[in-house]
Amino acid sequence: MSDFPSIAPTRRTLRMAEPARKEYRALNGVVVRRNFGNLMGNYLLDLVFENITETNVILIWDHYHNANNQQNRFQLQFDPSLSPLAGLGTFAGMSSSLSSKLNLTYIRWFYVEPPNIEASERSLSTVTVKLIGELNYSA
Amino acid sequence: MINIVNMANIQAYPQPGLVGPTLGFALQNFFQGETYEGHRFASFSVQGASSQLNGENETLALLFPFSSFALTLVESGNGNKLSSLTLKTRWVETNSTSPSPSSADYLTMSEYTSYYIGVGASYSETTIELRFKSAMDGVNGVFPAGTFTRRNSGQLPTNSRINFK
Repeated sequence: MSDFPSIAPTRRTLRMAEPARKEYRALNGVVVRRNFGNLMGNYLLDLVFENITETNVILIWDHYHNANNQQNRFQLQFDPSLSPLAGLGTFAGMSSSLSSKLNLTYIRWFYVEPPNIEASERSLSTVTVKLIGELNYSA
Repeated sequence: MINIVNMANIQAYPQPGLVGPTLGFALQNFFQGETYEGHRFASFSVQGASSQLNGENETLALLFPFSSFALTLVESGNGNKLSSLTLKTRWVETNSTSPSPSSADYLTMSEYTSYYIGVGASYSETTIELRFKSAMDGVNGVFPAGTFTRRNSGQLPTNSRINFK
């Protein structure tokens, strides 16, 4: 398992976690909800890397094709030294007090779908990555 | 909001005639990654009936993801035919403001316990289903609502006839 490459995205969209919950809605509108766990999971993180070099594309390519990452999922880098001053990392530009809220030991990340690589200019590409942060479970 | 913890104690007995340990699995499905009152976390769900007025045996299924752990659970109980299950259903509540509350933050409101015996298992691409029937405490007028296994009846010829008195 290796961390996701520390490349600053051009655009980043994060959807917060959702609870493990089902609801029963009666005909009169009364709703009863049942919780199935104490933790929330399924964060969704959309990353767009516009006009990145082939070196960075290869980093993402290798990370996606790494069998260990596919099997055991992976973590994102939350090293405060990488952001925001260095302008690096998945959470570049975000203060460490906010990004640290996402540094959850019980969350592992996985690719929702294969990344897209769109050639934008000679030797430059735009890469779209969609990740999901799931509750860590291995048995 | 209702928070329900399923706590399953599964005893997997060795096949008669074979020397082997009786394996015990204590599992819970609510507190992610925690051991809660001696029950390790496992991702399973409970489906099915628990009882019927006439005391007939009803089928209850534990659904596990297809994992090496669940396979061990099935095989150590001889295909879940030689297993017993004590299922505790517990309602818990919390007032915690933590984003990741632990089991220590929850209070037990009520619970009830049911007992079952294993009657087999089935597989799909993604899940393993352990089937159980209610134990022989459901009795109506004349017939004990039991399930025959090799363990309680021994080997039976295929065309045997049994009279109950």
